[in-house]
Amino acid sequence: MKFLKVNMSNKTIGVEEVPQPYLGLGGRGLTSILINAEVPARCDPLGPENKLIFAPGLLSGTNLVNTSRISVGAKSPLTGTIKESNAGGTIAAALGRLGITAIIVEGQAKEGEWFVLRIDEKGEASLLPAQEYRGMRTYALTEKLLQTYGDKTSVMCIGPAGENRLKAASIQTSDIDGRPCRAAGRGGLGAVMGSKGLKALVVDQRGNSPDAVADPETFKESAKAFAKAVKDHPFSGQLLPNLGTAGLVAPVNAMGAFPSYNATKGVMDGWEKISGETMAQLINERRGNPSHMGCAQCIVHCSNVYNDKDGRYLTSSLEYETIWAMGGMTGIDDLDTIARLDFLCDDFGLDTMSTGVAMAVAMDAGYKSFGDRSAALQMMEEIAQGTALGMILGNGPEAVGHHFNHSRVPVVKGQSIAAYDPRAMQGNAVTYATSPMGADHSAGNVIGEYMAQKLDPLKAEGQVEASRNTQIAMAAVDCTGLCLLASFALTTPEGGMAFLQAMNAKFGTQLGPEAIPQLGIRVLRAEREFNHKAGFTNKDDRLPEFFYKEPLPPHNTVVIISDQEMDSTFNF
Amino acid sequence: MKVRVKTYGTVTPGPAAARAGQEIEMEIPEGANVGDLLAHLGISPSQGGTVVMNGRILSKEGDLVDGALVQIFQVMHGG
Repeated sequence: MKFLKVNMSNKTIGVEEVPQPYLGLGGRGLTSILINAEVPARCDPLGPENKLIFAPGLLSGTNLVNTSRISVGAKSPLTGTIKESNAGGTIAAALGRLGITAIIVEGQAKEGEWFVLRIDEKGEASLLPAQEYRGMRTYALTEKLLQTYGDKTSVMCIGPAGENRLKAASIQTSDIDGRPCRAAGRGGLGAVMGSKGLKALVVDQRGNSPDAVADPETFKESAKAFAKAVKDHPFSGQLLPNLGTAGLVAPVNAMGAFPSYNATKGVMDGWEKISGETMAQLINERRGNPSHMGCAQCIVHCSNVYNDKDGRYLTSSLEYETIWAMGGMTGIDDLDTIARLDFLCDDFGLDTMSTGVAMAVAMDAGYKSFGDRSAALQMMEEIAQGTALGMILGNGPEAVGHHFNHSRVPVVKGQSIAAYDPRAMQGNAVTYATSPMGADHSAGNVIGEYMAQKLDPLKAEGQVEASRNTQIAMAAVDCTGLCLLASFALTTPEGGMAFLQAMNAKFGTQLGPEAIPQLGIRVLRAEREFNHKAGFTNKDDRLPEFFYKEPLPPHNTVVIISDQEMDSTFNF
Repeated sequence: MKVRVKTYGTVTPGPAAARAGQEIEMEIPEGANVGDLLAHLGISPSQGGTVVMNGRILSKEGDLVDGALVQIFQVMHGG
């Protein structure tokens, strides 16, 4: 239980016991509560007063399955709000095994100075000059770092996009195979890392000084029971290992909620060509891997390795949100092009969602035609070359809308929506509008409620409550290190009980089921408080005008949640 | 009446139908509802609980329309 405080201004590293106010916190809970307490809310997100925090989840580094999420937090240059963006891979488990609760990066290196933060297997940290890595893309950089520090190393890094402080810059992290293809994509936190002068974290995976487990026997038993619940759940045990998140392409199109051609239609023409079913078939034919283990401790294997037609590696892992942003929104119905764009984003260090939507806005504004594959690749090249238009695209959809004087820009608080149109899924309209993160696909996605027929996606009734409950649940899950995709096992009696038992056995607590939503509410309150101090009010919890006025085919509906209802979301 | 049926993901129809992912045309009794169709296909609710016709999710009691495409999914969550 220690904080590693890294001051980039004077290049010092301090180690301290976790202070009392932060005890019992991990992941998003820790990043958000700490940022709210210590970062001046009106500071420049790319200035020295902002803090960039890396926090593994509460259970990361233990033997509990699927607990390898790391939360990255800061004030976002994209949204101006508090931000938590989380990623899988191996680094959360590596930090957990070293008993590191958080790395807090403060201050700012001088312009043009670059560093790597290395943490060895004993947990000793050092800041090393990294001028030689300047300008490197993430695949080449990660390969070089693994050569230098050994295969048993986790890397978390930025590419040129982060160095250039683009607002859609991601932070990439290495998967089980040492590829930098897992991303803390949202919110432009790669730009914050770039502003600090930090090119990469490298963490030895062989640490053996984790925080103690209070009751190892009970922990072991409950971990076993939880693993069974994850395997038994039809979503994490069957669908995800076969199709990955891309399995969502078909049902969301069938429901008329797949925002296509910059959110002008709810069904994409030819969506079958980019569906999860088609993708799995292609991957098998090309000897890729449709059921790849991407993250430490993972038993779901939702990741994939996508090869080109000659059987050569093209990308990993092709996900639903990327297929939507690079395919549905741009009208590109070709998985190979989408996979190439995905790889280029990972390599350059860009959020695939913000980048795809930025291209779609440019197309909608008339710069290029929807469906033009070479235009999309050319726009990526513009970003890579750092041309004026490339910088605008790399700053996300809102910047593109301003440039072209185009108002159909599907963002909330500057961040693009995800692959569910709010006009055809009214609960996700509530989440996009009210989440402290800006529009976000993992802050409170209600699609499961619709597919289980608990709620009608087109009616206003019940949507605010569904969004509220899901936002609370997600805020809590994001504290634990548990992967969202395994977390639906918590909704079964066996899975929920096993997980709670594991938490209590780890920390020697006697928490009841009510502790989970209480934690989520605490986190959301801190995030809302920060945003309020930063100048945000309820009036910012609104969708762009076109979602209220332009009916979305095929249902021809608009967002019907009133402002008053939106404002009741956080009545807790 | 006749309906066209297509299953997705890991929903696997029983021997009465073709393999998953293939669209099939089926003759069903007049007035048959969603629950009847799922039973006929041998698809349990936990396996394929979401039935979509004309862009809307139907309950088990939902009526089917002659000639319509019926899409069957398992319940999924956001990713």
